[in-house]
Amino acid sequence: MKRWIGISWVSCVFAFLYGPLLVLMVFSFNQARYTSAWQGFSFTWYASLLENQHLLDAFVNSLTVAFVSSLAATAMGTLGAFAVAWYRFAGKQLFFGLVYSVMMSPDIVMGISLLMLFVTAGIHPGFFTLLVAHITFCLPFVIVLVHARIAGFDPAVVDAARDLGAREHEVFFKIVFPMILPAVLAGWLLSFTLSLDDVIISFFVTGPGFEILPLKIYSMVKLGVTPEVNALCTILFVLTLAAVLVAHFLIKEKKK
Amino acid sequence: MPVVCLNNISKSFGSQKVIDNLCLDIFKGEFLTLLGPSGCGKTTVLRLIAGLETCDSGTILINGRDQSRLPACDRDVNTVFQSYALFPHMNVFNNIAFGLKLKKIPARQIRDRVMETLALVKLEGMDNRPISRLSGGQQQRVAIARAIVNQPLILLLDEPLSALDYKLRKQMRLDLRHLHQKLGITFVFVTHDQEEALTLSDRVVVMHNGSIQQTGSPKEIYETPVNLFVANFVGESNIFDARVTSTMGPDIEIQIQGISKTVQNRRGFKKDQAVKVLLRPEDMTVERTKDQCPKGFLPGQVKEMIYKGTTVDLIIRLDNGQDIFVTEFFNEDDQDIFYDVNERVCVSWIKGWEVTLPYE
Repeated sequence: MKRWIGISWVSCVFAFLYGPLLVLMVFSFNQARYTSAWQGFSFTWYASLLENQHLLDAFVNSLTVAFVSSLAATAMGTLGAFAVAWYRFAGKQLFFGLVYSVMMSPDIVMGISLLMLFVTAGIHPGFFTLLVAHITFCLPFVIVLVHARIAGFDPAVVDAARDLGAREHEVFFKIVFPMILPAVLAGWLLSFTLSLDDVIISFFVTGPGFEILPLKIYSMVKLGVTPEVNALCTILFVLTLAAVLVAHFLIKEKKK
Repeated sequence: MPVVCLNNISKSFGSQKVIDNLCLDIFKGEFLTLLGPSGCGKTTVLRLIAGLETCDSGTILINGRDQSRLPACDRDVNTVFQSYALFPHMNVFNNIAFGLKLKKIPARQIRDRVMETLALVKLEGMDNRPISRLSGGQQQRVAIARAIVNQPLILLLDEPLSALDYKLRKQMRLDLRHLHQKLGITFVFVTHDQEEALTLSDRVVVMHNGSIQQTGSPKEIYETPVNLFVANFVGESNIFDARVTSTMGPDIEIQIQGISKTVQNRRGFKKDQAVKVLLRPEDMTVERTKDQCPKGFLPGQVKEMIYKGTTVDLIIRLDNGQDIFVTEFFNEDDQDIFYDVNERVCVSWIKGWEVTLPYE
């Protein structure tokens, strides 16, 4: 009896969490345009997505921003993680604290503050501002992930490599980099997904000349949820899920 | 010519002086141990020889050449680290081959040398294992193999046995000795464990506060410590305050707790000088007494008796209140070494077994 209550409770929770997603994905294959009744399986909406030039442009823009910002955030964040893990400098604790505070600050606050920064600096909103904003909110995740990895390995391995005849660049490329690589890749994928599906911060910092996918979807939904949006969301969901799964796998591997 | 000469080296970390004007020669093929409590600078000496630290002043000659400023990667010295510091992203083979690969040795030769070394440390067939699937003892062996495969001039070992359990440690001690005999490489071993130092070394260097207290064979260190620090750090000691009452040729007469004793005068003590007399627990003799102790014996009372299988340890409170530690061995002449708690006893030693040091 108790077991059945447990199982039904868990099913309720899962239904609540994943039901809507499932419905969205199923209806992206529905032939009907307006009704919510099933009228047969089709790829119509996926095909029509491919013909919508505005959407495709937005998608390419999104991918560009996600790719460049995640790459930049990964490079900067990795260096930052080394700074925190290996060097002693004034204000180190403060720096690390600030990293966490950026990670936890509400998106809306960050969006508005970045907007104010760009306006004050007289920079026109567009690709550049969006890029800077995305790098900013991805950076802490990379720092925290890579830092955990660096802190987790014995610093004596660097001494050991030197002792065995490795020069500085050999120590880095043969020892340190391979050891932190899983965390760097995980940080990069995480940044990529964060950037790809960000709405709130992007809403404040991008201009009319540079449209990205999540914002495009947002504006489309104002006119009602079309099967096209369903299809688009399904694609985004699959992309994000894949990236997160790979990142998760990479982080988990380090604990072994 | 010594293989390593440390000439007046000093090293500070911030305002703290870790090595203070230290001089030490290490000879080819010897097993030298740096022994001292934690924080005495022994590991720093090792890191200075390895080139992982540079000294503030003084010179380090390796094989007759001044290498004080040479980086670690260019020195013909390899280290076994306390934490092993194995590369977790490589398997056993690649860990051991790391140094050889950097030297651009042909792959076939690397393979042969790694396999040979694996056999030497008794890890045949483990070459494909990932590091994470090795036990502590196996990791230890890989760390040693990774260092000796390079055939260094000197092998430095930084407390390599401290992370192992007691039984494994004893086994590794023997293995290290055999390895040293087989390879003929100079071993410099750092430890805070006096038993390890005494059983392994040809020569022991006792360090304290960044300077050398005494250098000598294990026997010299144990039997004739040059100061109270060495006496206390290496083994157990009973220390008596005494005063010289007269000198008589090679001997002196001293007064300990109101009792007169004759001891050897090895350091030119003068009349009325205050001295410390050191005795190892196993060098003391205990007699039962009915009433008065014979001449030259210190009276006391058994406080505790600890049976240890091969020995019996006694804690005896002398009549002046000092507690001393005495070890009695089982032997055929004297089967009866069990004492009752609170039994009255007399304690003495054979002349010449004591070490007399100036008062400090």
